[in-house]
Amino acid sequence: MKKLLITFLLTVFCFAGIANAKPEPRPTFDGVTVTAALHSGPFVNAWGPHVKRIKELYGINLELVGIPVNELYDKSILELSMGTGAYDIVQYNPGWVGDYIDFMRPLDDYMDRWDPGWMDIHEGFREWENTYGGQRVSLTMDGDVMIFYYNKNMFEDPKEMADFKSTYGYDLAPPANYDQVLDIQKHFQRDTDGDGTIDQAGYSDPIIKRGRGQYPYLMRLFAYQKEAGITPNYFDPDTMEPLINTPEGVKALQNYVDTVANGVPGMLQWEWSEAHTCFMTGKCASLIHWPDEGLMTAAFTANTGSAMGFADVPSKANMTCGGWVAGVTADSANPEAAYMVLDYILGPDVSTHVALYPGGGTDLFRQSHFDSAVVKMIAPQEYLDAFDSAIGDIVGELRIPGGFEYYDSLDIQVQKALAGEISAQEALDQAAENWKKITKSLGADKQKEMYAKAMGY
Amino acid sequence: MNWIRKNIFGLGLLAPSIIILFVVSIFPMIYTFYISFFNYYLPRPNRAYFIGFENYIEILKDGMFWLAMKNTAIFMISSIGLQFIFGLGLAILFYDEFRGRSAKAFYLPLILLPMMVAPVVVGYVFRLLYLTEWGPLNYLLGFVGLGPYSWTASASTSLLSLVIADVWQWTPFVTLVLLTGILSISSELFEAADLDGANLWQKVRYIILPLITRVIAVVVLIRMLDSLRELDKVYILTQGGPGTSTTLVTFWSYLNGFKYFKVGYAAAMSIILLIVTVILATGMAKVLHKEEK
Amino acid sequence: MSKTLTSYIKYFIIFIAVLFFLFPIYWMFITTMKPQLEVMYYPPLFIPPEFTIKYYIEAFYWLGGEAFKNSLIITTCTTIIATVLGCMAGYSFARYKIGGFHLPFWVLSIRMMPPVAAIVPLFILMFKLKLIDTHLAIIVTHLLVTLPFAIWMMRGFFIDLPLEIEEAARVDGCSKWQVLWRIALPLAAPGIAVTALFCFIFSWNEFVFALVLSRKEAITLPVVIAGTRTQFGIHWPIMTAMSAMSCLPVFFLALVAQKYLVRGMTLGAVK
Repeated sequence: MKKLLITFLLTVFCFAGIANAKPEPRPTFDGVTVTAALHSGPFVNAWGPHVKRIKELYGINLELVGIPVNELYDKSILELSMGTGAYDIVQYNPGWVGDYIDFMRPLDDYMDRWDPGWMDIHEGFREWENTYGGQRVSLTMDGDVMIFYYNKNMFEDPKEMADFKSTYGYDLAPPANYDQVLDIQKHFQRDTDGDGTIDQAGYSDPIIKRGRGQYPYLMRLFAYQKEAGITPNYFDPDTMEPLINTPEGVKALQNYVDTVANGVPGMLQWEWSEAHTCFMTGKCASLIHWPDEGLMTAAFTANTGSAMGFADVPSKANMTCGGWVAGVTADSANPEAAYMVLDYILGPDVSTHVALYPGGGTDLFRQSHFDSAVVKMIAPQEYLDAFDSAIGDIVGELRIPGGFEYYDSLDIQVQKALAGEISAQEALDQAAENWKKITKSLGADKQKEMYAKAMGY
Repeated sequence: MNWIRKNIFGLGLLAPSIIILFVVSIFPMIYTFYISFFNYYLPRPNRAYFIGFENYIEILKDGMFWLAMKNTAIFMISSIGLQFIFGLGLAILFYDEFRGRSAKAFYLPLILLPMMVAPVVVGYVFRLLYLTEWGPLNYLLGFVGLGPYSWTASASTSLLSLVIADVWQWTPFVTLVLLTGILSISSELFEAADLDGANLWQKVRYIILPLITRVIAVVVLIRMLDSLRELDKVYILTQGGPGTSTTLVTFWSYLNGFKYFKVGYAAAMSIILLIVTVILATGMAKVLHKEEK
Repeated sequence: MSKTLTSYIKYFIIFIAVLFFLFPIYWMFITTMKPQLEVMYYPPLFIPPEFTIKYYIEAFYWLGGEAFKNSLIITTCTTIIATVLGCMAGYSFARYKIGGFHLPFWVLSIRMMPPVAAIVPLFILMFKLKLIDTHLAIIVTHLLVTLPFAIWMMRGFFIDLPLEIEEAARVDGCSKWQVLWRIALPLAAPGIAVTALFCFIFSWNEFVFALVLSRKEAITLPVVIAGTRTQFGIHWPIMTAMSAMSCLPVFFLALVAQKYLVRGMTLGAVK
């Protein structure tokens, strides 16, 4: 019943938002068409209800073009690099910005004239997603960061706690580092109904499947780097030597390989929805995932009878692991109008409604979201605190030209290690070799300069 | 001149097709060849520079390319082999049904459905079937005491999973073509064989196989060309993984050309692939050509 | 072994084969009636928990009819152009032997070009011609694959037609055009049906070119289906409902052409 009520309230709230949002004094652009290239499905759906209001307020015809998420990068880059001028607004991963930056319009002058609620955006996102080389180039659309979720019934069960303590010699709690993750996984993974197949998982990483498998590795790399007292880094900023095959890197990958090897069968093909379902139905004791689950505590409790627990990721080495931003393209014929659209939809007033759009795929990213009455109603304070603290721990994505290829070539080797084809050391040596090749082919000096920009050195 | 006047009708019929094909294919061909000598990273279009044969050398030195070639060869040989065996078996089973009463069997259109399903959809549906914990395939195999297998989630079975999906989709095509080949054999031959008391195996060995060599060559050629272009199913089913176990060479060139945007590098890989394809196809075409004479 | 037993075995094998080929399609159809969470449910449900068309409605809402219309236009144009030109060129190759064996083989070799090689240059070409996001651009690229196939198929069918009938018609005073129109084409009708069906299937299902060359106006069904995959993975019931809707027209056509399919194949197969 409570779930229904919340859904109802949310719906009313989201649609009410379309009419209630108050415009700042802004110019109008009668008859101008602005085309936005968005992730098809969730984002197109969430922006759709605002098209009419934008027309009323600014006279802008907003066209939404949905692109399948897996092809978003390639299609946009193809159009942008050919200078087709097809899109005024593009949605992209902060990690791709190294390739996008030349085609995007810096927004400093617009933001100075028409403040998009800049300071209201969470500092971590402002720094790691929207700013590049000292310029403001985008607005966050989706506040992604990783959170450690756990099933409180399982974690706070006295018998489990006693068993855990006696086996591993320390208290059962959200893991402080990735070695403890392995213990927790081993402890909770079992065959509950005794039919010979494992039906309860102890722990799951976010997307492991080929395509995104580099993220769990990188988070571990940064965690082990932090523990060794090294500043988290992809490259040595002075020499552009890859740091992925250092002893910390090998430890990180070995931990990842062990987690997958000890995990439930089939895990190598898991994506967002598999891990999500496993946790939400109570078949997974713990999970590191994006912030979406925290807004679904009602459903979780209805399914499992347990409360949802939240904690920082091990060693507090966090990443956005994707995340979405939107910017205005350099070849846009109407950059001001395009900016107005971003400013309207991603500004403090409307974005709260967009962020809560059911199935919209947007996570909270502004202070005003965290303070919103509706958010406080559906999300436990514990979650908001964990979320807030996680954003403070973000290590930036690899925001240099070729970012996509660096990630993908790393993922290929990581996957080989996960599949047991080669050892962690071999995989990372090969990946580092490939990274050096990419750096060389894109120009080592240029890459070094961009890396310093990207990491804020 | 005389030849043109004599064949003016035939030339007229041919012209529109040749013009369209020439115009549409010549630009991509020339462009691909030209750009294969450049270091061209698409997001930096102004910085393309000539590097001679370096792309080709890099590719031939790259272990990943050879691994992808090996995967492609395994995929091609096993999937075409299985399609041929199953296709021939089914075609022989069906030919009795069709003698005398052509195309009455209701199940023929049913088995043709797989090849009409979009490859994108095939990829998605097989992902459902292959789900390790929740998929019907492991569930059914469980009854005969097999599995559970991880299918696309394990490096040892992922290529097999891909082959099964391909066999599912294209065996009907192979069956259909072989069936028509068998049906075009004069039925008197079979009747004579029946009179001599030949068994099924003898009929297959001495009548069917020798008389449909040409059809076999055609179907193998077409399937070979298609598996060298296989992309959609890999892209959706496995993304080349786990590890590199299902990275076929087209997928590898797709990654390089359209995801990493190393356009020159991918172009060079395409040229190498094209050469391989043409060599294979010419071999097959020789068989066809000889038969036609 | 008695005759009935043999035929029982035979039908049993045929039954197994039909089961094998239909099961994934059956699975697609029943998944359209399972809520997302039921897809990941053990044991898997072989009969849908409820009969509902809810997800079809949602899928249709997502599609908006637009992609359906685009796919229909593009596929119909591609099929007609490829079949008509394929008949003409195929007849010319079969009867006039222009270019001997090498020209037809060159035509076939266009089909061998790896699709990846063609993407970037075709995008550049279409951009310069201002054709991106138009039906024409996608039709032309689909012709690149279907036309060689149609020519090669029709060439085979015409070669197999008995020459005597056409020669007799020529003696009776028919023009070359009349021979083609009145004699050869009707005789090759089953082959034309098969060729057209294959062209239709290809164009209806093609993904990569349609993805790259469309934005919003010319978007096709497979691109929309691929778009149901979001950052959260795949919404299975909606995806399968969309797939089912995209399969139906092809299945229907195949049933209609069924009579021709086998006869067309017997006429000359794919030579």
